[in-house]
Amino acid sequence: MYLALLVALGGALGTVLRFILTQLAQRLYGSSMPGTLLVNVVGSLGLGLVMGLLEQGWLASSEPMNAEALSSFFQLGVFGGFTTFSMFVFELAQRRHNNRWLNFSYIALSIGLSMLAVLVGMWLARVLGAGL
Amino acid sequence: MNNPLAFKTLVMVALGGALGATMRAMIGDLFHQSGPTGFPFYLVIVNILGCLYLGFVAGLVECKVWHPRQQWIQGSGIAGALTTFSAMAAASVELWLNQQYLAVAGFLLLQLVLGLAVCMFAMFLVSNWHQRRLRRVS
Repeated sequence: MYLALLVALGGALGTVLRFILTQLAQRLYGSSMPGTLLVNVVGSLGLGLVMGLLEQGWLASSEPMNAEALSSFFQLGVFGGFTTFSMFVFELAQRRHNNRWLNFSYIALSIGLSMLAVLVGMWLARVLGAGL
Repeated sequence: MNNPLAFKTLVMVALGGALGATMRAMIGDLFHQSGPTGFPFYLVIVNILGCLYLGFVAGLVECKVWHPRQQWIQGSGIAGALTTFSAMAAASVELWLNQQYLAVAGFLLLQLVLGLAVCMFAMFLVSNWHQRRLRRVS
């Protein structure tokens, strides 16, 4: 129950942040695509960082904040809710941009950059862990 | 509630996000988040379910059966948080580091193809239903 609440709280936080950013992108660029790309890459970076820190036993010293609680809040909650697959697919399904190259590069950039971001996040965690 | 960035709307979006994220965690529990080398099936399930749901919501908003705020609350909120990109990227990286390159390609292609198919199918069903309903009325 405690863990489910942490997931819900983190999910609410991540979702609102994503919603604000994609709405701003919609206003600035007339499309939510740049916003969705940004949240998916930044969220993947954050997830990689938290995964790496938890792996090193970081952040998990005090009792109510054990690794399971932190993983529920950050991994399943915040970054799970911040990033989205359905909006990504919907932007492609709408076919508002009937430009094949744009759609292809959107898919390649989203997947490629977010996988890279996970690796960078895990690497950052290792650097931080070694430095402190 | 007509402005997406109004405080009231943001609260509703947050509630939708809490609901979506909790459902994703529950489905993850149900399918026992697979081990380090396993194929992460629960991610495929939540991502496809979310695409299907978003397709229905977007379809109903597009033909003006639902107010656009449903797109924000249910679409961005519930469906957006039910699905996830970061865990998908992390699972792909894990498979990649285990040199399971075919599994990475299959995992990503499966979600992309199925996700697009169910999303477009749901939008098509709704617009079809709506057009038939309009014809009956006139």
